[in-house]
Amino acid sequence: MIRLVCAAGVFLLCAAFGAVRAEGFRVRLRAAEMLLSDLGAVASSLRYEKRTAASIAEKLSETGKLTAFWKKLGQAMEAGAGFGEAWEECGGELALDPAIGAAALSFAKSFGGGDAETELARLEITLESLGEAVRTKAREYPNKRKLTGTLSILLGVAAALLII
Amino acid sequence: MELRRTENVKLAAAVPEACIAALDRVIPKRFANAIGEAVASCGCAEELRFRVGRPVQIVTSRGEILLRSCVFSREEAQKLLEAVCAHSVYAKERELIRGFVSLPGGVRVGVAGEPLFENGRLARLTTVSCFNIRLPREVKGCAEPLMPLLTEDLGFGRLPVTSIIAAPPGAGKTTFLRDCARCFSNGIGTARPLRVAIADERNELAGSVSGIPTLDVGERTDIMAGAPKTVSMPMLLRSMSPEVIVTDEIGGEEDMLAVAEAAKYGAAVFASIHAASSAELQSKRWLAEPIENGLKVRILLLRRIGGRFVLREAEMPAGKGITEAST
Repeated sequence: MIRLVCAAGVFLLCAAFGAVRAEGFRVRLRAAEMLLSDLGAVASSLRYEKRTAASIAEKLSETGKLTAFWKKLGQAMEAGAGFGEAWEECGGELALDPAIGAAALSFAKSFGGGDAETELARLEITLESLGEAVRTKAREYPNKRKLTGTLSILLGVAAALLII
Repeated sequence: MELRRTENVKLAAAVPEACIAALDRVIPKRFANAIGEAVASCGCAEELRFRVGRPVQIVTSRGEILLRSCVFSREEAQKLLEAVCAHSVYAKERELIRGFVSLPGGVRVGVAGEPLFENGRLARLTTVSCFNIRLPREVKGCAEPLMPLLTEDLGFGRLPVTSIIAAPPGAGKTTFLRDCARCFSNGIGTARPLRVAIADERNELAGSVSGIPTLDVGERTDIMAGAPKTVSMPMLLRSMSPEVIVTDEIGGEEDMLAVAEAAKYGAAVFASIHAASSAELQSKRWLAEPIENGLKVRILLLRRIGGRFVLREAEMPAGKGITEAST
C-alpha cells in the first residue's frame, strides 16, 4: 500500500515538474513579447518625442507592458545610474530567455550615449534580432511544452513502476 | 554723454543647493573631493573646466586653480557627456549643436569638440572633449541700489524702462538680471510689485526644474524656459501679459527685433548683451538700428570692480531712441 502511495506521489511530482517547466517557457515567451512591444514604444519615443531615457522609463512605467520593470529602472536612473547600469541592476526581474536577455542587455548598455540616428539604428537592429528570436521561441513553444509534458509523465510512470 | 556711476554693495555669492545637487550627479567621482577642497580653500567657484588629457581647471572669483593631479581622460569625457545629457545624448542634440546643455539649478555646461557638417550645416558634435561647467551665483540684493538707473518716474511712481545690460563674459550679467527680476516682481525700487516674465533660453536665469524655478526670481514671475527668446517672448506677451520681460544675452538681429517688438507692446524689456565697451556696442549694427528707428532703450555697461557691481550708461550715437537715465 505504501509503495502504491509513494509511486503515485512520485508520478504526481514528475508531472508537476513538467507542468512548471512548460509554464516557465510560457512566462519567458510572454516576457520577451512584452519587452519587444515596450522597445517598440521606446523607438517611437526616440523618433517622435526625443524623450530622455529616464522620461521614457517613466512613461513606460505607466503605459508599458512591463510596468514594474520600467518603474524600477526609472528609480535606479533617478538614483544616478545610467540606462545600461540600471538595466543590469533590474534586468534579472524580466525572467527572459538567456539569449534574448543578453541581446537586450547589449543594447541597453550603450543606450543614451549616441545621437538620435545612431540610437534609432541600433534599436531597430535590436528589435529585428529580438523579434526573430521571439518568433523562433514562439514556434518552438508548443513542441517544447508537449515534449516537456510527455517526458515528465513518462519519467513519472517509469519512477512509479520502479517503486512498485 | 556724461557717464554716471552707481556703486553696489559688496557681492556675496552663494551657490544654490539645486546647483550642488546637479553637480553631484555629473562630476566624475574621482575629482569630486579634489574640486571640493580646492573650492573650499579659495572661495566661490564660477566655472569648472574639463579638457581631455589636461588637468581640471577651476575658475574662481579670485583667480584660477589647475588641479595637476586630476587629468581628465577620454572615457571620463564620454561619461561626463552622458551624465550632463541625463544619459540621453540623442535627446540633447539640439542643445549640443548650440554649444551648451542646461542642468537643473541654473548650471550651464558649455561643450566643444569635433563637429560634423552635413549639407553645409552643423549636424552634430561627434566628439566632445572640452566642458565648461558654469555655476550660477545668486546674489540677492545686488540690483537693489541700481534700481534708480533701471526705472523712471512716469507720474505713477517709479516704473522700469527697457534696458540692455552690456558686459564682457563672466562679469555677472545673468546674476544681475536675476536680481532685477526679483526686485521688480517683489516691488523693490518700483512703485508697486510688477508682473514679470522671464524668457529663459538657457535656463540660467531661473534654473527651472520641471518649470519650477530653483533660484529666487520673485513672487510674481512667470518663466518660459528652454525656448528661443524669439519664440518665447511673443508667447509670454500673449499669454501672461507681463509688465516686465527679462531675458538673457541677445546675440543678433532676430533677438533684437523680438526685444523691440515686446517693448512696442508696452512691456519693459531687460536683456543682456556681450560687449566690453561702448565701442563694441556701436559696432553692432543690429543693435543700433531699432534704436535709430525709435525704440526707447537704455544701454548700460555693467562692470564688476573690486567685488562690486558698477553700472554706467554706454556712449551710443545720438539716436532718438536713447533715453536719459536719472539716478
